[in-house]
Amino acid sequence: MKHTTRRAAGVLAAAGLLTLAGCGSSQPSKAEDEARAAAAGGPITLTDAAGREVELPAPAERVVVLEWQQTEDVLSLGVTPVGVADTEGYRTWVTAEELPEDVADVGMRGEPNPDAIFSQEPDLVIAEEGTDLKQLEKYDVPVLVTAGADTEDPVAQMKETFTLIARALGKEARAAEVLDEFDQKLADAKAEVAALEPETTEFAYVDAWVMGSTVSIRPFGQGSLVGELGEELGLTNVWKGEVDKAYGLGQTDLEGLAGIGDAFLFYTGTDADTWLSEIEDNSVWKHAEFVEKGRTAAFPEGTWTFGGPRSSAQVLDGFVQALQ
Amino acid sequence: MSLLDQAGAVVDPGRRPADAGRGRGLLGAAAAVTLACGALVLVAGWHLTQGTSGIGAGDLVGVLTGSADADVRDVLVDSRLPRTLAGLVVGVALGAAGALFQSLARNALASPDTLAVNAGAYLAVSVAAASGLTLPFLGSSLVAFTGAMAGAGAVLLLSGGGAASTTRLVLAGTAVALALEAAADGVLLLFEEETTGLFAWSNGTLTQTGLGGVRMAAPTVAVALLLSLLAARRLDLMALGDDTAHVLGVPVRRTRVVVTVLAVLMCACAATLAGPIGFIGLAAPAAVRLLGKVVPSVARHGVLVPLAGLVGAIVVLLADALVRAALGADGSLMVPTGVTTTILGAVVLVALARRARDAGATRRPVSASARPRSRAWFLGVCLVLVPATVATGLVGLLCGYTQLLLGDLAHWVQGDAVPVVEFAMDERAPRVAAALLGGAALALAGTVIQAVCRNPLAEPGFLGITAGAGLGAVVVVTTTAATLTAISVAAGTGALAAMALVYALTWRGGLDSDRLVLVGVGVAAGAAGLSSLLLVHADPWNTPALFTWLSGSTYGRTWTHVLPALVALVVMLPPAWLAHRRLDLLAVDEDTPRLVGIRIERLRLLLLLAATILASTAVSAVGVVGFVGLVAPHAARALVGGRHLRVVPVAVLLGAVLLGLADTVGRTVIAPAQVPAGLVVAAVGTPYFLYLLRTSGRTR
Repeated sequence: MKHTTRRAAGVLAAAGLLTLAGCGSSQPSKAEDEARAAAAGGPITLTDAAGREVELPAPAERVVVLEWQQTEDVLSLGVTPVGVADTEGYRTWVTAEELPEDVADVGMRGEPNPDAIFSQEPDLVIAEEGTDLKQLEKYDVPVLVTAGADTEDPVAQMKETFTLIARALGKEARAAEVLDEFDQKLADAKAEVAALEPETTEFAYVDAWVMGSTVSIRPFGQGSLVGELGEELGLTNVWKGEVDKAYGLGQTDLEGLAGIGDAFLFYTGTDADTWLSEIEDNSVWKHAEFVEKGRTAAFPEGTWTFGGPRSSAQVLDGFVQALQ
Repeated sequence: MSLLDQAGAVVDPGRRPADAGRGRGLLGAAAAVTLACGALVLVAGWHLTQGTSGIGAGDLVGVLTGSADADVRDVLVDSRLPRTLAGLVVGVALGAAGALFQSLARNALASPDTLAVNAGAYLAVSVAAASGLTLPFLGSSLVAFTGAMAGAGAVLLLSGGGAASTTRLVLAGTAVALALEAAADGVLLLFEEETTGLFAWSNGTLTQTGLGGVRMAAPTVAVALLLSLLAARRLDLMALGDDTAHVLGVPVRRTRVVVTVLAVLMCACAATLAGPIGFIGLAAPAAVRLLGKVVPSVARHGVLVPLAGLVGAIVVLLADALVRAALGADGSLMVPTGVTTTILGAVVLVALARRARDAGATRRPVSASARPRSRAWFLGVCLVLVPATVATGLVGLLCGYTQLLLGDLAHWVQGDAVPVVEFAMDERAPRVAAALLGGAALALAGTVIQAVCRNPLAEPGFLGITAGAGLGAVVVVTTTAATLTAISVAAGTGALAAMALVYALTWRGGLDSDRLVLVGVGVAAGAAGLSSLLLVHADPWNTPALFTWLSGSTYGRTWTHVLPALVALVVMLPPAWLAHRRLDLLAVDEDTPRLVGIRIERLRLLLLLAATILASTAVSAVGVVGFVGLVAPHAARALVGGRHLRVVPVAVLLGAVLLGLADTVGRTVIAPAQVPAGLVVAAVGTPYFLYLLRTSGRTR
């Protein structure tokens, strides 16, 4: 009996302590929005990629970005976002624009944390289609929906997304500069490729990973950004297999890959030796025309193949380097 | 002279008994093996002609006759042949291991899947991948082997080894497998980039990078198979019973241990080579045993084990070839072989379960601990639980990315909170409510199902209800751009359809509760396989989003998702509580209710319908969550005794607290990212479930 009473008293005391700990209030001070809006410039109205009307009282300064391509775009425009989804992942996979250390992580790209987003007091949230936006909209947080990719015209889509973000941030001039640099880069790279006079202008781009003794190979087919960039340089993407509608990615194995004949095989450099070491002894690989003629090359590590203008410039550099 | 020879003599008394039996036996066995080999060669040949590079039968003949060019030979030797040989090795390994497991457990439903061997290997390999280790084949095999041994060991230990009843073994194995898979899924979610490709691998795929893997696995499997064949005679004797075998001089325990290790080794090799391919170890030996009714000599282990291996190889290659023929070479690369075999195997499991006869230890009244509990104790428990539930809700509202305090809550209720606080509360309140109500609904469904099945180890997940709900949701999500409301409706329909299917398949002039559970497990596995198939086919690169929904998460829930669960609880809780006497009687045995005048079949049907509706509303509120419907009623029974008058309210409150806490932990621990509540519950529920199994095994 005594034992039970003592135990019950202990539990009650603990409960009491916990309740006391929860008491209090943490009301933060209210932000001064109006003053800022008046200083920066007039109101902006946009139509985003989902056809929604987005109204901003002024060009956005505090931006939360929920995908890496758009994060890179924002950084290219000279603005540092206040929150990004999966900051660690961004720093590993995207090297075109550096993300400062003090940017808040707002959760995973597929499941961003609304709490985290709102607590950054954003002027604008940039998201991709499919994100659940209802609660943010209810609290009058402007959300700009952008399209990450489009297999119809991936390069134009990439530029369009960049320009849309620039308009929302009031940085059209800077955007024009960046895009001019990109176009110049494209022209230069095209000239370099022509000057190099490669043995063949056919290529295929893949990335791959290995699991156990299986290698999964993911070719970038018709409508993928990398494929399209290659074609703009005057090369021909020979992968014509079935691809997904958004990013133009397919699926194949070694056998299917050997079917590209003597075209160049380019691949993502990050972690490439994990799968290369698995297949180098395979005779389908060894006797593939592109291997026998030495036409395989890796792109530099950290080249993000689904990025904005700066990443795409890195892709162009990758092509030129690989063809040398 | 063996008993089988004597049986042969009885059939044909004219001939000399020994020679007649042995002669016919050998002939039958030889015929069966030859037929199997012939079928295997045909299927393997077909398999070799399929692939992404258009090389076909003509080229195959060309290679054999030496008239094909080097390219074709390369493709066939280094791309097609490894794949086919992998299928062969995996099929033989799994089929033989399944036959061995079934003999050891003396149980037609033992297999690498129901013994959590595959799940153990999967978890071990996931953890290794997430920690950044790239292991060579031997290293991966060892890791898989350790995981597989751990899984099988846990299941066999907890279900009482060889003496386990079928239901108990399947339940234990399925539960452990679910828990291990949930843990592996958790690893998959948290280390997304490191574990790319693991989702497809986890369902089993035969594509190889060369003969290296096969060259290592094939000898291991062959040696293990030969060693197990050396024990064939002992296994024949052990089939007569442990005591008989002991008397006849068989070292039972040693044989058991050695054969188990060999079988798990074969499974681990298969898992490393091609990922965990499900149900071959169940279907192949089952088919051979059915053949054994026609050709008795096939039932002897010397023939059974290799023949099961051959049949396993045929099934694997056939499933792979059929998928490739149906979807084309490119399309089929996204569909793992394991998914097809799981769907096929679920059908086999259900067919077997319908014939299973079980008089095991699990069919007993759901009993509680021996201490009688007074009414004061019960009221005391309720008095503690109600504030505990409220406290769980409060803690859930306060915790998350933004830590809040009670004063903020008060401001929010009064309506004058700062936007940050208001936003956080508005986001969390429906989620907390979803977790509490979902947990309560699942606990009530579980209590009802445990009474109907007269089995303390049954729950809505094991009857295929939650898997059916998940399948309905996946169908809607992958075919149309669905709103969450449409998903909820589809989940409800899926749950009802699964329940109807399970009920129809189990009905045989009456409802046997053991059969219900076994058929339910089969339907659940089939639904899960179909979900995987649709997921991988529709959106191969976006698996994480659907993954979390299927793992049980309250992300993005609004009040519209919570409402059905609230309504279902309000409508069903009072009648269920009022019917407590009927539930008590139902839980005793088949005849007592009838003696008292209860129409047992109608009552069971009503109760199962109620449980299904409750579970499907819970799925729309929290996604597919297991364990709550199992653990909450049992914990309630341990607290307040077996009477449903007391168990129903306590189980409901416990379920709410459990899922509420799991949701809070999941949202807070790795904020801003989140762990799905279902995974947290599995992590917490599994040790408790295993403890349940041990104690329920002891009190016979």
